[in-house]
Amino acid sequence: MSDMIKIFKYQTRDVMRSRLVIFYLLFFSLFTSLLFYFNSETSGVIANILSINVSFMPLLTLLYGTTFYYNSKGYILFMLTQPVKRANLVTGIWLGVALPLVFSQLIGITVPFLIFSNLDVESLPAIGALLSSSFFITLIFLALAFFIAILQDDKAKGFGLSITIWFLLALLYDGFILGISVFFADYPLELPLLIISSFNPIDLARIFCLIHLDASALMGYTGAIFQDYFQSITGSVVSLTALTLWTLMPLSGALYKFKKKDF
Amino acid sequence: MRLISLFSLILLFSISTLASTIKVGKSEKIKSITTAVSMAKPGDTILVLKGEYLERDIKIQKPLIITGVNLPVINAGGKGSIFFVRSNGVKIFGFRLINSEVGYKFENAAIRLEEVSNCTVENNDLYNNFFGIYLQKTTSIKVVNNVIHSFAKSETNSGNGIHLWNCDSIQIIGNKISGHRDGIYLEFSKNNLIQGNSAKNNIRYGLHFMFSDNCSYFKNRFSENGAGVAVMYSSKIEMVENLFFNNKGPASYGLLLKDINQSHVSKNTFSGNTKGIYMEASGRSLIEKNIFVKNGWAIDLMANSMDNQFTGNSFYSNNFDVATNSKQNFNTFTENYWDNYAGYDLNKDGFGDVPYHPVSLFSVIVTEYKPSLILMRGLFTKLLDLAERVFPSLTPKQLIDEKPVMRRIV
Repeated sequence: MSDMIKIFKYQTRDVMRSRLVIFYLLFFSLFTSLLFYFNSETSGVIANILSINVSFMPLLTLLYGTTFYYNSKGYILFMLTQPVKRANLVTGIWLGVALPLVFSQLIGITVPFLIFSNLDVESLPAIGALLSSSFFITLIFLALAFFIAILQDDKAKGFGLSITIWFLLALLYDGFILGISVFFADYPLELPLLIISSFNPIDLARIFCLIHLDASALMGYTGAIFQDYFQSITGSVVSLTALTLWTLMPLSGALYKFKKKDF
Repeated sequence: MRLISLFSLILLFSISTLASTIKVGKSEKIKSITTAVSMAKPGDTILVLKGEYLERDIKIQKPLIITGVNLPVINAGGKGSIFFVRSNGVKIFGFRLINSEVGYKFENAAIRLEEVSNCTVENNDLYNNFFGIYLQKTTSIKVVNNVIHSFAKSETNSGNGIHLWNCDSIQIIGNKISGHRDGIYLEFSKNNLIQGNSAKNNIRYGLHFMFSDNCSYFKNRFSENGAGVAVMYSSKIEMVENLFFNNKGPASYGLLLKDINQSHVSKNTFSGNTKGIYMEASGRSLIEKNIFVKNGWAIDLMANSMDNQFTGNSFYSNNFDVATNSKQNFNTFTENYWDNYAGYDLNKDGFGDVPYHPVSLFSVIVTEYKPSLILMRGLFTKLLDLAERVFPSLTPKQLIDEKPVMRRIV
């Protein structure tokens, strides 16, 4: 455990100096401030940041993660010669990369909110949901990136796989859901669609935000199931649990492969 | 001083000779309102002192002023109605009327007026009644500042808060109605004024119009009703400065307009409704200067509505702006503010240079396939909308705002 914390500390210090962290901080603070400049409604700002969170952030995180792993291969090999457990090594690096990224995002988003929005109690849950969605998206897609990089030693193949996975999860999966809702329009689809969408972390994060955003007025339209899910505490609990599971899954995959790997 | 007291004495005598005052109370000579009503002469005043009276079906057949002092309670005990007014010029003030009978044969009400005119019902507190105030074939009645609350559970065994049938020139002002079937219900009634009322948590509509022409309603507040407000089969209705708030559900609207002609919807606020306005088979109406905010759909416009004009409205933070069921459109949208408008204004005249398409592709998809709502705000739907905006194929081409306003109007 103490090995992991040491690696985590070192890695954090290392990543803190990297450009992406500064870029994230600047990008999110500028973007959020600009949104406030153009849009006075807090919910509109949240919705716009959400659309970044569920579209380009997964791709960015995947590419950054795989690149990071490939570039740190020498360091990882060196660390393997030391008396460090492999699981601790990977988890330490993962946390060390993820947390600075998450924090720079959180600060980048929160500070403009503190400055520009008149923080009313009503919008606090939505902001919380937004921040936790960016938190989970970064953790999940960084773990996925590590998993891919550990699976694929070939850089080009690794990048290709990352982009494919992003394309699948961010775009095709939603097309698939739309296809189902058109094709099986005669059947009660609310519950199946909720279940299907929880197999995609991007959809999960998006729906978790929708629960706390302005969508509740709309959800009554489809009938009781969405309304119950979106207006009760159940929806939040289920989404958060599923997101946590989603974080652990690629991470344990990466750990498993890394332990078995012959360098 | 003396002169004034003399004058007032003379005045008092003259009043008492014209119309006497009868006091009803537990410690008075007359202990029952029914007795007081039967012995009173036309034009008398009946003062009812504080206390609880177990009385029902008090039939008033002469013009009387019946006033409650310190809110006396009349309890029907779950049988019949309470006041039944059959004479012109009756005034009822300051009572708490409770427990009229839920009936399927008779429409029992706390106060029922039938075939009368020039009556006033003011400052009463109606609690747990079947119908609250029931007006049948009446003219020139004032219903002012009453609080009407009941516990309706289903539409079949509950009554309306204020019920008008075949009435003319009724003023309904400043009432608070909750827990009934419809808050205010009008059928075959003309020239009515409905102002400053609040209808909340009624299980069907907050306000329900049927075949009632030339009515106007101002500054009312309709919130959290089962299906919002419904205005049907009427013409020349003025709807101004009302608030339609949080009417949510699969068949719920802020304002439902069905077969409405030559009407005027102006300066209202629609906030947090599943659909702000649902419009069907309505025409020649002007919808102007309203605010639509945080609704699921701001407007759902059926294609059988025509020649309506939407102008000077502000649309912001709605999930969808407009939905429709056809590719054709016979209504005009112009000079509205749309927060989703992404155009530009090169000549700086305050209007966007490219038209705005308020019907997005995703809105069309959701109208057709409801569960696909779960895809909202995803990248996929964003791209679909973008593609549709560039090459419109499924959304109505004529339904556009030619001159969208660049800055929010209100």
